Formats: sequence, C-alpha cells, structure tokens
Amino acid sequence: MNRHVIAPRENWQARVERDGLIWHTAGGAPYWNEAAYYALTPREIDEIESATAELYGMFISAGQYVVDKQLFGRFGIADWCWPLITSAWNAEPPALNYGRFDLGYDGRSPPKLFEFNCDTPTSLLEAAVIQWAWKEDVFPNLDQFTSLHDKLVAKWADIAPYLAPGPVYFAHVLDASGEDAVTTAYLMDTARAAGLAVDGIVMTDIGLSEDGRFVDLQAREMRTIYKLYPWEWMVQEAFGPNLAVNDRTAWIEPIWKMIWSNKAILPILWDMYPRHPNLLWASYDQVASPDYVRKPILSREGANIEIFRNGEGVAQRDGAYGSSPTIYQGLYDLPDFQGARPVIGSWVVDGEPAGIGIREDGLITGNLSRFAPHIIRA
Amino acid sequence: MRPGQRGEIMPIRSGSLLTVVLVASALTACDDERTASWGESDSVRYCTDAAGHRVPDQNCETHAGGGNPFLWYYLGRLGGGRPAFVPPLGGVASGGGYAPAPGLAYTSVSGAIARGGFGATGGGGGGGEGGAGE
Repeated sequence: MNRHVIAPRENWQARVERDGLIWHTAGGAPYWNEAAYYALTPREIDEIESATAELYGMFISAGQYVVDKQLFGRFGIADWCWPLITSAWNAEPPALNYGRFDLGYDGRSPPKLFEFNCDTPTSLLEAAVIQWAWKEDVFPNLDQFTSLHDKLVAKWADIAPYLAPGPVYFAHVLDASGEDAVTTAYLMDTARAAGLAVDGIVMTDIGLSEDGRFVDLQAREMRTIYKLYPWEWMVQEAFGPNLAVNDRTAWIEPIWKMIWSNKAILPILWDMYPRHPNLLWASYDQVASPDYVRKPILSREGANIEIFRNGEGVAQRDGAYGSSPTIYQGLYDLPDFQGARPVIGSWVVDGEPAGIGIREDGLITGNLSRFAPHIIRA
Repeated sequence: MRPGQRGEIMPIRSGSLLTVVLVASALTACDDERTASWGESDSVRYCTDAAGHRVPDQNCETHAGGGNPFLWYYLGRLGGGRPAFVPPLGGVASGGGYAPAPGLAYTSVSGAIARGGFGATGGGGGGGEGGAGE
C-alpha cells in the first residue's frame, strides 16, 4: 500500500458537489482530499476483503454469545432494552445490515480491527460514489474496490417485500456540517433506486400520537424508518420508552445493532478468538502491553480516546464521553506517510465485503479526518 | 483477481446522483426552531398516575371523584411562548404541576401529536461535532 501525491482535478469542488458531496471542506481544509491517493495491490485488496468477511463471521458469533449470556450490562444498556434487543436479534427484522470495519493496515501484516461502525456509519457517499467518479476521471483504466452502491440498492430490493406499506422515512439530525444530511440523502437515493417510496424527516420532527404511533409532519403513521441516529441516544430520550410498546414501526437498522456498534464487544471477541490475526488484544480492565488505547465503549468520531506508549499518555482527544465505561485495546502503529496516517474503512453489506474508503488523520482518527481515494494497481 | 473485477458492477449513476444534492437540501431545509411541542394549544393538561407517569386521559375522566388514583397534570407556556413538553404515555410528567394556574383555560391533549421526543442528543452537539454519524 502506497500513498501518492497528485494534482486535484480542476474545479474538483464543483465536480464532487455535482455527485452530492456538498460536505467536502471542513475547518477550512479539504475533507475530500484528492491531492493524494492510495494504491493497493490486488493481493492487498484480497487480504482486506478476506479479513472483512472473517470479521463479520466473528461478529455473528460474538453477538449470539452476548444474547445467549445476556451480557448487555457490560454494554451499558438499560435493562428494559434487553428483551427488545434479544427479540430483534432472534427475529431478524428487515435491515440493510451494513457497516464499516475500521482497520489498521500497512500492506505487510494482516489488517487489524479497531471497531465496527454499523449503527450510524458515515463517509458512505465518499466510498460508494465520489471516489469512483474520481477514479473514472483520473485512472479510467484501473480498478477500485467498491461495490457498495450496488450492494445497498440490491439489499433494499431484498428487504422491500418484508416492509410494511407506505414510504420508508429517512431521519437524521440537522448537523451543522451537513454530513449527516448528505449520508441520509444518499441512502434515500439507494432505496429509491431499488423502487421504494421514500420520504425525509428530521429526528426532532418525528411525532408520537396519543395511541403511541410514530407519525410524520402530516400525522401519517411511519411504519418504516431509517435513522442516522444512534440507538443509545434514542433509548434514553423522551420517546425512548415508547420503543418498548410500539411494534408497528420497523427501524433500520434494528435495535440489535446496539451490540455490534458498542466497543464493549471487542474484549468479548478477543476472548472468543484469542490472538486472531485480525484482532488487537482488548480487555475491560487489564492492560496486556504498555502500548495501548483507552476507548469509551460508546464514543464516536474518536472522542475521548487516549493513547499510551510505555504506559505514558501520548495523545488524547476531548469529547462528550468522559463518563462512559472504557475498554483497553492494543495500540496499532498506523503507517505514517509524512504525517498522514490512513485508516481503512472496510464496508460490508449483509456479510459481503463491499469496498473500502480511506481516511487520513494523526494518531486518532476523528470526524475532521480527510478522505483520500484509492486505486488497485499491481 | 482481474483488474475490473470489483469495479465492473459499478454503474454510472449520474441520473440517480443528481437527486442527492436536491434531497440533501430538502432534508435540511426544515426550520431549526422546532422544539418539543404539543399542537397549538396554549395550555394543556394530561392525566398521570400517582407516580407521575402519563396515562390515557380516560383514567382521569372516568375515575373523577374521591379516591381517584389518577391526577390531571397542568402545563402552561414556557418562556418565549413555546409550549411545554408532553411526554408519551408512560413518560414522566415534568415542567408543570398538579394545580391549574388561575385564569388559564386548559385543553386536553387527546388526539394531538407530541414532537421532539427524539433528536435532542445529537442536534445539540452530543456527537462531539453536532452530528450523529461516525
């Protein structure tokens, strides 16, 4: 895996905006960074693809273990949610079942899992569409590892017969950057491409009728809602308790994603698959080496993560998750390309590897990291 | 793996993608002034049990009289004229009281729709940067 500097396309901003990425600049610097790209060999892509499939299978087993043993307390999940999660896990309601494994990879040793973002993953449009369009412009004769768009459309078509009548609503928050709106709009586009009727709604506009039905701004019942909004927030908000008594609305993704998207699953994986080549050691309470990372189990965008080398703190990021329970995970030395440290976001749709997106940052990858495209080159 | 193997099923989606920007604009065009609200009533009341959990209004209506374990809970306007939040059934009453304010006319919330019960964490920056994605 190599990083190369390259001249951005002229008017690249207009080009990516035309494909929907209105959120291409953050903090005055490009978030979409086409001044560099990564070249991976077919062998490296195969290795990432295999690891992704392997990890997905391990998450299936670990999820079953958590449900069988009712280990939700470890995940900081309120008691009243346990039967909901158990029921959803067993019933398998309609889901896209998509997500992004964040991996450390240097092309020399096996990819290592940092976490699985499978409840509200972003950088989706970039990975599925924007980098492909860039490749078509810049390297039309080369290939890229992304089949995300087609797999998402196919998955919508797959679950369509199991959805209740009426449109699929797409709910998101009004984030200042527009990142969530872009991601939600893109997913809405994939559902529309699959032939589904769709509508959009802001999370705070979701209504609750007197008889406990979730309704839109026109008081129409919403039977299927895709939400780019974490379950751990939903269950603790005012309408949260209603989720336990309303079985008319299907949520995508389902509530069982509270298991996989929680970093408390990492020590369980390590216990089930000790020394697996795609895992870093992880523990709830013990440090297995002097170089490690302390992560809140529910933090997002790199918030409240601390990195230790030889037992000494060397990097940390502030955030809103300081009071969350934490886990410890072995430190992975990200490859350093003159200060750009790439994390591989390896996408999966219903168990099938679906492509990668690469974000660059420093020691901790946050939501102001830069997204760089990639190509496959022998 | 052959070159092209992974990309070959990737269609050119220009027609479809044009909608992304439009939809994103539409999604975010909603006003950001909406807060937890309950219809347009000026002042409302709803029924609670003795523990302060909201229950259907029929409980207060049909059990009226001495020994009734259910109580009307009264809500006025908050600062700026915003209506107070009415919880869903089973939710805990807050922001009002069990005694009506003199001179105010209270209407039932039956049939109305509560909003603002989801989204409070993320919209205010609970995600660290004001979003809910990761």
